[in-house]
Amino acid sequence: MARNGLISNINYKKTSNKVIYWTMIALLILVAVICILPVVWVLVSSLKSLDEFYSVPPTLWPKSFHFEAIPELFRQYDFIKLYWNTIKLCAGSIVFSIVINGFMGYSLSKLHVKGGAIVFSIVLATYMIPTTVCMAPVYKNIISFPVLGINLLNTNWPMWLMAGANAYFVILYKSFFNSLPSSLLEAAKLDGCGDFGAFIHVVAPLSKPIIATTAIMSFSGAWGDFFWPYMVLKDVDVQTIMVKIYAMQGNTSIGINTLLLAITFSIIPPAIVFVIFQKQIMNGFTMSGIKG
Amino acid sequence: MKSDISTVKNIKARSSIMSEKVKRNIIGWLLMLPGCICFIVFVIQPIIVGAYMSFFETQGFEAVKFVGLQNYKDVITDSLFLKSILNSAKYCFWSVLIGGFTPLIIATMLNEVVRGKTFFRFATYFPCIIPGIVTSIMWKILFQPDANGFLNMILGKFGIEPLQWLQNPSMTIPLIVFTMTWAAFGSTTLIYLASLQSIDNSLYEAAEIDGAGFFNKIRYVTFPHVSGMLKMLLLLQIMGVFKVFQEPLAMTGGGPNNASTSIMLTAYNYAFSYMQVGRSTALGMIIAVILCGFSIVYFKITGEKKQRSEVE
Repeated sequence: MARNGLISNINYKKTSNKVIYWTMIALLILVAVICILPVVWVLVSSLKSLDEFYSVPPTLWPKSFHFEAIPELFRQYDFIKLYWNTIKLCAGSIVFSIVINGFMGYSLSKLHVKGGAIVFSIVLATYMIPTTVCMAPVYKNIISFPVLGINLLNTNWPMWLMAGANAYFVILYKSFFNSLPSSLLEAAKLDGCGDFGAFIHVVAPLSKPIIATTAIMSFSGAWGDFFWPYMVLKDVDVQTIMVKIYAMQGNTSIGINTLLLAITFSIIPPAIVFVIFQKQIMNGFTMSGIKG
Repeated sequence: MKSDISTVKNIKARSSIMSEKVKRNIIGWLLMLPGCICFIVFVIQPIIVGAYMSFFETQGFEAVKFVGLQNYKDVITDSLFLKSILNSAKYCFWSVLIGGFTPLIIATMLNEVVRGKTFFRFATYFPCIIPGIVTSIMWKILFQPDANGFLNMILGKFGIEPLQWLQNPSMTIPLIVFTMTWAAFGSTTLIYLASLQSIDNSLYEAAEIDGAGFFNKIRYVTFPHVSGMLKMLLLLQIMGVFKVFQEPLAMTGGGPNNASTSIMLTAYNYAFSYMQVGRSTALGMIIAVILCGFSIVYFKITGEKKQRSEVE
C-alpha cells in the first residue's frame, strides 16, 4: 500500500509516526461512531414499545421489536400521501431548478446578452442573502402573487419558483458553460444546427454530469426543505413529511416511538438516493472544491 | 429552380448575419426571463418592499403610516434584540470553535488513511443525507434530559448523573452548534479533502529532505495550501450564524428563557407571532446589511484567490 501525504512509507517505519497514524485512525473511528451511532439508535429504537422507553433501568438495545408499528404508522398518519406530496414537491423543484437556472446560466455564459452582466451581478449579490431575511414580504407575495393576485397558499408553486431562484446553481451552470469551448457551438452551427439545435445536440449531452449533480442537490434540498413548506402547506392534504414530523414532535400525545418511526421513514428515501448516486454526489464536492 | 433556392438561402444567410445579434439577445432574454421572474418575486422585490415597510407602521402585511426610523428604534431598544445579538456572538464563537476547524482536521486525517478510506468518507458524509429539520428533532430527542434519554443512558453506563442538556441555558447554544456541525461538517470535510488531494506529493518529499517532521509538514505544506479555503469557509461559517433559525425553532423554540434565540428567529417571531411586520422587516434589513458587509469581504477574498491562481 502506497502512503502519500504527510506520512510516507519510509516515515511510517518510525515509531512516533506509527503512533500518530494510529491515533488518527482511533479519532476517525470515534468520529464515525458519533456520526452513525445516533442514527442507528433512532432506527432501532423506533421499533421499541412505548413502555420500554420509560422502563427503569432504561435499555439501549430494545428487548423486542414491534414491526406491527410500521403498518400502523402508515395507516394512522397516511404516510403514502405524505410521500406522494413530498415527491411532488421534489420533482417540481428539480425540474424548475435545472431548467430555469440552467437556461439562465447558459444565456449568461454563451449568448452575450445585452445587460447580462448586470443580471449576473444582481444574482451574485443575492447569493449570500437567504429568502428568510425578508420573510414577511415573501409571505405577502405568496398569499397574493404580484400582478396576478393569486393566493399560492397550500400549493407547491412557492417552493418550485424559489427553486428557480437559486443563485448558487446559476453560478455553477454559468461557470460550467464557460468551460465549454465556443468553437464546439460554432462547429455545430456550421453543420447546420440552429442555436436551438446546437443546444439540444451539443450542449445538453455535455451537461449531463452537472445536470445529475444539481438534480441530486436539489432533491435533497427539497426533500428536507422545512421552513417555506411549513409556512405554505397548512392544509393536512398537502403537507410534506418534514412539516408532518415537525407537527408530530410538537404534539405531546404522540409517543416518542411513533415519532422515531416517522423519522426513520423520512430518512430512508434520501439514504437510498445517496447509495445509488454516491459517485455524482462526491463529484459535486470536487466540483465545488475546485471552484471554491 | 435550383438558383431560386440558393438565392433564397443567400438572402436568409445575409439577413441572419445582420439580425444575429438581435436574435441572440431575444433568445437570451427569453431564456433568462423565467429565472428573472423567480429572482424578482422571491428575492429582489421582497428586499425592496421590506426596506420600504421597515419605515412604516404596519397592519397585517400592509404599510399604513410612515413612521421614519421608529421601527429601527423599537427593535434596537427591545431587550429581545439585545439578547439575540448577544446570542449571535455566542453562536459565532462556538460555531468557529466547533464547526470551523473540525472539518479541516478530519479531512487531514482522512487524507492519511490507507485502508478503509471509503468507509470513513461514507461515515463522515452520512449525517449530511439526513434532512436538517429531522436532524434537529433527532438530537432534541437524544438530548432528552431524563434518565431515559440516549445520551444520559450512555453517561449512566459510566456512572455519571443525567445532564439537563438543552434545558441548561449555558449549554443550549453550544449543543445547538454541535448539532449544526454534526449535520454539515461532512460536506465541508469533503471539500477540504478534494483540496488536500490536489497537493503535489513532491512538496512533502521536498519538505522531508529539508528535515520536516509530521507537524512541520502540516505547518509548511498542508496549511499554506488550504489557508485560502479555510479563510473563505470560516467566513461562510460566521455568515451562517446570522441565518441560524430552523435549529433553535425546532430544538428549543429559542428557550429556555430566550437563551438560544437567534436574530432570524426574532425576526420570525416579530412577523408571525407578534404580528409586528414593520419591526420584522426592520430587523431583516439589519441582517441583510450585515450579510452584505460579509459578502463584500467574501468576494474580495475569492477574487484575490482567483487572481493569485491566474498569476500562478
